[in-house]
Amino acid sequence: MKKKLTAVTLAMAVSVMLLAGCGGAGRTDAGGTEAERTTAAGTGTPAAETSQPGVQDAKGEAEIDEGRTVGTIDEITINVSSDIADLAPFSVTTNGRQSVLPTLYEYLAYYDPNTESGIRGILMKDFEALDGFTFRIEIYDSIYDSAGNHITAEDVAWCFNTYHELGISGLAWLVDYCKPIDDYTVELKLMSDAAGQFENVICGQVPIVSKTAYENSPDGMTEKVVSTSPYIVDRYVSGSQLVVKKNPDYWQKDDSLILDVSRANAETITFNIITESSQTAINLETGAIDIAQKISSTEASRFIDGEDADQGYHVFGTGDSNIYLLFFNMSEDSVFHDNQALRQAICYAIDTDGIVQGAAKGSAKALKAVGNPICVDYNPEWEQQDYYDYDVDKAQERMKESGYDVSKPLRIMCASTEMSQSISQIIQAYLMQIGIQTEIEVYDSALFSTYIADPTAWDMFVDTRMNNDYVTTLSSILARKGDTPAVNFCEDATLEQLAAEASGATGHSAETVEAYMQYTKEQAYVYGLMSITNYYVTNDKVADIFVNFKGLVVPGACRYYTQQ
Amino acid sequence: MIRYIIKRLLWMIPVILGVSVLIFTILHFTPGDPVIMILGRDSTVEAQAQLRASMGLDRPFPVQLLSYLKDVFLHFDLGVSYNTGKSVSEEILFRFPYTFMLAFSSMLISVLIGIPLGVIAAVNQNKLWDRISMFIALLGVSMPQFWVGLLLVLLFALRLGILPPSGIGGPQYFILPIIANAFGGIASMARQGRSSMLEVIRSDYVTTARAKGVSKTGTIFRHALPNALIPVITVAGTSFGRSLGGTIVIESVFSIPGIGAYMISGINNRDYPIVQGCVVFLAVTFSIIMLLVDLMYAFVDPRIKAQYVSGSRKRRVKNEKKDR
Repeated sequence: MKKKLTAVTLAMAVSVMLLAGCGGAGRTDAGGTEAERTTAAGTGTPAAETSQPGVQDAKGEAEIDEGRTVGTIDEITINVSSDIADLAPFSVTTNGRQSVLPTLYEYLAYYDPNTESGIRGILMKDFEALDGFTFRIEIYDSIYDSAGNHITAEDVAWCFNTYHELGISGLAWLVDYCKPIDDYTVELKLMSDAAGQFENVICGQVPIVSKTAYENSPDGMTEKVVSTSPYIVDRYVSGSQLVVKKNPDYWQKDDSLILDVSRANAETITFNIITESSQTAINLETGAIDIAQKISSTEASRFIDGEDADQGYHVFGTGDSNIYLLFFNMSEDSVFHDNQALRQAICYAIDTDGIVQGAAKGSAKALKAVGNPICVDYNPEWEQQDYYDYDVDKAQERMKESGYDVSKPLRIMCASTEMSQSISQIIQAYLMQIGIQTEIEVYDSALFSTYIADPTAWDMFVDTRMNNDYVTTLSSILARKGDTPAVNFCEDATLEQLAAEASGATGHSAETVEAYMQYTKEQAYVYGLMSITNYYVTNDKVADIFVNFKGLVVPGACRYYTQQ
Repeated sequence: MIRYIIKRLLWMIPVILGVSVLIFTILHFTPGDPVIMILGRDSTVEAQAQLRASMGLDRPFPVQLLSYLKDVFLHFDLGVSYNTGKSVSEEILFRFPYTFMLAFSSMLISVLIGIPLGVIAAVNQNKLWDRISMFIALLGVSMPQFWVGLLLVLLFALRLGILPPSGIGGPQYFILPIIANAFGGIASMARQGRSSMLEVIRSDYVTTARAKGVSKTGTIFRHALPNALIPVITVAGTSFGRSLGGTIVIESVFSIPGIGAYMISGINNRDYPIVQGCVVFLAVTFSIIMLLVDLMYAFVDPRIKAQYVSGSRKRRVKNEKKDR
């Protein structure tokens, strides 16, 4: 009896000990008492609808709470979800670097899909397209970096050529040459005239720095940055934290010419590297950070009305620049080669709305084309059209037409991310309904990237692709171009011709895009699954957020409440 | 003793050489292309070939291996990261203090709590204190570190608001990671301590000591504990050596820029110099820790010390005979 009593007492004590840590999150009012906000929207973000109650669209003009003034703030802290690695202007692109580069450096221009041309100059005063490939770019004559170096056309040309020569970006090949024409004008020639490529190169790829400053830097600016940005590096702890302070001598003195992205609305910005996703929300609740960017829908839901931590927090949502696609193997030995009916059967068998609910917990949008709805040339009419809408009967009809022998299972390959694995599992379940057995092969990012290039390693694969400017940009991977094969080894002369017409800067029009997209849909070489919603949660210091076209918050450009 | 230390240090050279060759070979033949990781999945074949050549990855395997070994052993250079161009040696040295502090503090706490728990359990075998100690040990062994870490964060950072949830701002930032990291160590230390103590306190010399009138406490602390500590030191040393390679989970949960986090980023990006550098560094630190563990045996156990000394004496006598 004594032994039993002891055991029960011990068990109870342990349970209490464990549950003490498991309890619901405490209400931490991290920034004021106001809890009811109507809207507080960001700017500069590609439009995407987020109809969830309690979630504000990160777009349009902000409505500010009555009785509170909006302006600058002394200090703001934001999370970065992966290691920044280094601060150098020309280095390998990583997610961590992407989060801090827009604060550390300036580019020639900023991509703003809400404007007619999509391009707004930062260092660039004006530009002229000489033909689809060649551009003449004029920069301001008053640009100085934080060390006082004057930025001229020679520096701009050097930056583009260095970027090209280093070849450490997938887009480096795009630059043919860049040469100075006079003190403040350069000629930039690209290797492609595809729509969106000029914007791609000048808006987010090549940070502009002084050649002298770079060459004089003992560490290639990996830690000691000298740039034209409105911020200068105060402290950098590799793998942990970056602190930047406002540059009092920012070169652009004309306030009317300063773009939102180049604003410095916070005196000090701290970027905290938080790699563990569950820790991001906890850091926000404890006040360790003020802005949590790109947090999961599950974590974000805690901050929406009715949950534990809704007091004084604002949840913003915006469409991601990446979309999820299902690629069919179109190489000669694949079962999908010359079997359009089989591809269509699979598309009809998959309920993309089911994937949205099952994999993204409703925080996504089923695709109606192989393109992101945030793209400027996305046709809203596609939303009303049939895009292999879920129909098991049609799927079974197509299966019969295909004559496919179901005895051999198909392989679905995906990367080891939670989302890709969920999507693959749901697809596997749907395909069982029409008798197709599948095996899911999950690989880490490096192996996945390697095996994609091997047509014998997979039958279908689930993957994301960035698509935030034009829907036709994806044609560069869907259609073979010269010696470069399509990502799924598709060889179709008609597709290649339609893609070339629709994506070329001169041929890009509503008609050519329509022809290309309809053909892509009909052939079903690739099936569009969904575009997910990104969530950003802020405490009550933040009036509205600025999300750039890469889906990342630019903290200096956000607006803050100066009066609590 | 000094000869013994020198001999052990010299033995480290072939160990490190073997580790270097092995890790380089494994990584070289592991699928996953660092060039594709840098340029992206949709990069052109020409761009990939160009970058591969500029990184020296198109050279034959033996040439690459020899070049690497030359850099490591002749220039003490672990190379530069493919992704950042930063020196791997410098980055490891920058990150090592964080990992060392975490590993050392955790080990210290494990020893300070785990050994007494084990001793208490052993001397009170099958009694209440034994059950409590072993229950705590069972919990520690069963609960994954990341879960313990997150529970501690929820309780102390979120609910009580007395400690920061993550980061490296000051000493208070290390309290939760150290506790989370030490929890498993306390458990294994207690279990090992109990088992060793039980073995020792049943020995004849302990019975003799008690029969001669030595008090129970005196017997335990003066006679039993030093002998029971040898396997415990082995466990402590091994786990400390392993921790110095990076407490990967804890560093990740608490955003500590240690060696473990660095190595994981290297593995994910197929940044071979980072992985090779971290493994070689781990081999060196592990060898040194094991040497220290062996020396500690001599400190706690006079029989082992006598072996070292008698070894030296025998050699001295032999040499003297030769001289004559």
